[in-house]
Amino acid sequence: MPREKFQTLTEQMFYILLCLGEERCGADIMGEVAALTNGRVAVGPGTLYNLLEQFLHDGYIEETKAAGRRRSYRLTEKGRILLREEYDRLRARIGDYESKMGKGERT
Amino acid sequence: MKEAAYRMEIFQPFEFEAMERHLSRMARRGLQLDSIGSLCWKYRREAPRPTAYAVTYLPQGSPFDPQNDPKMEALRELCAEAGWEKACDWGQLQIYRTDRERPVPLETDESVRLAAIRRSMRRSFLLPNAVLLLLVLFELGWLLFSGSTDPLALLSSAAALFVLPLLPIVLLMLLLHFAAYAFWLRRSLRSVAQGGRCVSASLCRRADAAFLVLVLAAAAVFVAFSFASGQGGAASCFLLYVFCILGMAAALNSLRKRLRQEGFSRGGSRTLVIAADVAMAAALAVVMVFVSGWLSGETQTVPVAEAGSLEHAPSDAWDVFSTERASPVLSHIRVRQYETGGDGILFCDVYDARLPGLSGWCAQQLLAQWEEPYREEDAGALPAGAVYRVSFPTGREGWILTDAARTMRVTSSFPLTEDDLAKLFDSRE
Repeated sequence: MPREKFQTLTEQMFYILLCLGEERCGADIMGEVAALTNGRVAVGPGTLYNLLEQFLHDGYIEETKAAGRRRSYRLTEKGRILLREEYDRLRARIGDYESKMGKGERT
Repeated sequence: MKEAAYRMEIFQPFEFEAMERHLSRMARRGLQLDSIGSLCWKYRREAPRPTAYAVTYLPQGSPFDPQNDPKMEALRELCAEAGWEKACDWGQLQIYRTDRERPVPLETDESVRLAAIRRSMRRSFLLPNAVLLLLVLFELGWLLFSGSTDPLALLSSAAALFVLPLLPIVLLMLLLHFAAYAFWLRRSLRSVAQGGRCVSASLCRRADAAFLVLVLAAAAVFVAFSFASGQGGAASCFLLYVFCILGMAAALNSLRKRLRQEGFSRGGSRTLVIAADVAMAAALAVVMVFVSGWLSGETQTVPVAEAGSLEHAPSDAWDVFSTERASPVLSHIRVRQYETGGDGILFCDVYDARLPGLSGWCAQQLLAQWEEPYREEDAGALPAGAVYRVSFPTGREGWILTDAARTMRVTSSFPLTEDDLAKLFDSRE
């Protein structure tokens, strides 16, 4: 069964929303995600474009300005809630892991 | 060496990985994709190099969008930032390439890619294939219905005989397309849900290529057989029709490209292209009616004995109308003669069979078409193997004469003698 839309976020979705905590244009997001994750996560332009369109459509981000072909976006309140829920979910997972495996334990 | 090369490529929109592999392979052979037309893909000759091609999807896109469409431009901007250059687009498919050694892939989230493909496929694959499926089912149903009500008309039509075996193959191909997509989607959904990639697909590509070869071979056999059996008119019509259709497709694609370059809106381009399509189709229909009549329709000579020359003909003045149709297995000549200024009629249908046993079957079909029962008569001196006769309540009488190669049905408003029947039956020898 397909996952319900944005019920949980993929890594790419999470980092794109995270980068849009402050206003950024689409092209800057790719570099920002790579810098934020030390190159561990790369966001492809096709993925970024489709996700920005969907986030925009669903009201998680808003377009702040469009200078020529460059469009800038920012997280909306709805987007912040979504990001916070994902953060809580990730923390809960980490907590579950630590309670079972011990803090800082690596398998 | 020419700077451009044209190739017929067959891909379904969800076979993106096969497409990427193919285009990268072509680049290594010195052919870079330039544009995608309605019939062929155009490649530019350049020095062979390991260019990587990638396909991404723009579900909101349309083949009628202007080239400077903001959505496409926004995607192009992002791709350029990541080192990808746009090669061309094909409906919702956006094809990019890069010469970078280890580029960031266009798609890095398979769930997003799968969702974009699914949305694109609804418009670019499911809808057109469903429409085509309905048309094929309608056409096949119509042909089968016509064949069951008038099998002789079906057998004597070269076009119907050509199309009849092809339609089930087209139907099978369409069902295969749907099945292949459903199978690909199911496997991809499962794979992506488990953290994997969208699966690779190329079944349709191989099957479509085989189908194309089959259709071309069938068309070649049809044309060769038609010319060899003296039915060059039908084959010429067919060839003219095919060339016109191909020319129309190329002209419409050229118009669409021009409108995109000129920056026409999606709605405007679509309306103009559809209007041009309808106008060209109407013109083609008119041309084909005239050309087919000229090449294979109306016969210029009277193919059976003239009614006025028969013994009990009520008059010497008759108006004659005749048509001829033929397929590689059966030809049918229909002659209608009407007494000028009177009530006399003489109708003749002559079937010449080109397969053993077919003439007898034709006679059986003709005998079964009438409610009034034909009685078998002694052939006597007639040059026919079997003779049947019926008298209609209107006073007219009907005859069916048949031998190994020919079957003839005659209906007349005046008595026909044995000599008359022999004259009609043998008149085309």
